[in-house]
Amino acid sequence: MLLKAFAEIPARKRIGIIAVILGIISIFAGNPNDNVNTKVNLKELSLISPDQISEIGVSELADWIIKGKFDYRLIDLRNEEDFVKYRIPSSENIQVTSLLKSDLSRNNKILLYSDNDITSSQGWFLLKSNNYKSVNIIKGGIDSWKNEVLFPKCTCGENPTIEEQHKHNKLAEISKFFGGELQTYIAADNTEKVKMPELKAPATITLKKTTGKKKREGC
Amino acid sequence: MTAPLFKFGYFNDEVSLIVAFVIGIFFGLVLEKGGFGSARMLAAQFYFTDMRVFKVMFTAIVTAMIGLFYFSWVGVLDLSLVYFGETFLLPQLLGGLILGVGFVIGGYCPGTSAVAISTGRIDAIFYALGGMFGIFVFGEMFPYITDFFYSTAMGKINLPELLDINYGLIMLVVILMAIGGFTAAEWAEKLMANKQSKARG
Amino acid sequence: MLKFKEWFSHHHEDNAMEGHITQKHYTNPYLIGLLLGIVLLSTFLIMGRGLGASGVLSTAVSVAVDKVAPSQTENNDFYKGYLGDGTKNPFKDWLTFNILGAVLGGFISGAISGRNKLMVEKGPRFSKGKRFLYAFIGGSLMGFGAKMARGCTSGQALTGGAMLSVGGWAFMIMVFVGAYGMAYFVRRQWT
Repeated sequence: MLLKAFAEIPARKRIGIIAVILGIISIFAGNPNDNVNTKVNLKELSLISPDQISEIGVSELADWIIKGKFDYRLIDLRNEEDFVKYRIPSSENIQVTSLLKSDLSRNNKILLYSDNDITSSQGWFLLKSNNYKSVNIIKGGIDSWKNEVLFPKCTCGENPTIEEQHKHNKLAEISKFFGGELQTYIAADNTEKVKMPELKAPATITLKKTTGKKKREGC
Repeated sequence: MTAPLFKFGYFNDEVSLIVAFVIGIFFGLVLEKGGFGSARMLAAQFYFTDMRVFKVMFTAIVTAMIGLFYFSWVGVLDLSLVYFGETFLLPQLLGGLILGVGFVIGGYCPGTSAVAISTGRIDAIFYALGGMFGIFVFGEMFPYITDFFYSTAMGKINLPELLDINYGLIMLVVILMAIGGFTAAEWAEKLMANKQSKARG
Repeated sequence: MLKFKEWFSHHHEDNAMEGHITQKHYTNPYLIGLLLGIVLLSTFLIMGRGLGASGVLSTAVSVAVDKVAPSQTENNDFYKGYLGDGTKNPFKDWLTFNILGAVLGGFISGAISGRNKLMVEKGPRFSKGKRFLYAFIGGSLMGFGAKMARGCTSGQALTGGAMLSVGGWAFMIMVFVGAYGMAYFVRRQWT
């Protein structure tokens, strides 16, 4: 009966009635933006094993920066003081507590680093549990960056092979790019620790990235 | 949750351009069919003689709005990933006013002028050239009006957040307003038609 | 529902004539609105963004200025926003392809409905030259206003409207205020 009467009224009124009904239902349906958080399985996330957390090595990151690959957001989780002293080029300083309030969006590829892996893991968990899609940790954080990129130690002996020399040169080049220096020492002299040079911060290097402005999304 | 498909990485940038083209074709088809390709049809809104474009536009807004809500409600769409511009209240109010004045003088808006050009409206070419000139003027003035351009920033905010009212309730208000608007439009059209036929005698 | 034939039906007798608005050959506005809404919704679902039209013109202007006077764009954030980071062609952009599609779609629909015709849209009492001038002036205002408001009718009103964006609705209301306020003064152009 009701359906028949409904079918007989003009199309525009039918559309109108359906719209009003949908509108009334929507009042009780809650906020669509809240929906995002409820869908995450926290238990599943907390049971995740360490090797499932995606990690990125510092040398890979160095490679990206040199090549001008900037399809990610590099986030420094340390405090502001340390950030001002020295930071990995192209990084932004956001503390763990303000990660969710930041302008990171859920589809950004996010790389996190800190001076310890626990802070990075906290950030990872926080973002992941809020449905951020691609969250990665820089393995070893800022310390690895110092030891492996800025001031890498040469592992070659007194008579390096061509292959070793090639590797040596590459390391030297990379560290030079970021304002560091290759640490050469003779392998036998292992007892004498190499002095870590003071960091001149922030490293001033020119990145390939030009204005850094992404083309706007709106019209 | 799988939508928006692009933001979940179902296809890359290159494919997105093809998608853009295909969506564009449908956009053009519907605009032309809606009467948006005719400046007189568009301008008729502002003289209450033919409210067609108004009806098409608000039906579209309401449809998309309801669709967005229900797709995210059933968990298909992550609404937070859908882009919409930030609010800068004063520049947008002023921009809207200037654009509205330009609308009735020029007879088109950027999207409809594209359709109008492809269907052979010569005036639309002048319109698009004017559009580029206006953008050029804006670009040249930009360094001097930068402060105003970024003033009254409110961030990425929607009406339910601003008014702190249930999202669904706002939707219902918009739907009822649209239906009220359509009723008024139908009534105005009849009124104007009577007036015109009387004037013709 | 909407019949396919009805969509593309051909009405010779009431094709648009100069100075005469015909209505019969346009289908039900609410159905068209529903379809436009579905196109918009699909864009949201597939791309996570709305439609936009004025972006292409902005890109064209920015590229032109960049070609003629690169120093101008160097220090101008507005132009730079449309030129991107220089890694790819500014025209290789979503909005460009979107509008190219719209041009083709409009042509197809116009061709099938028999509305493709070289003509000038104006009221019977208005000269062509004046109409071209008005179109240019209106276009300029529109271009300026759209940039000031960060979007045009498609970008702000349709897209922002459906997303219940505060800026989108504020913009839309002012468009109507501006247009209805100005309508009286240019009535000779249209009626």
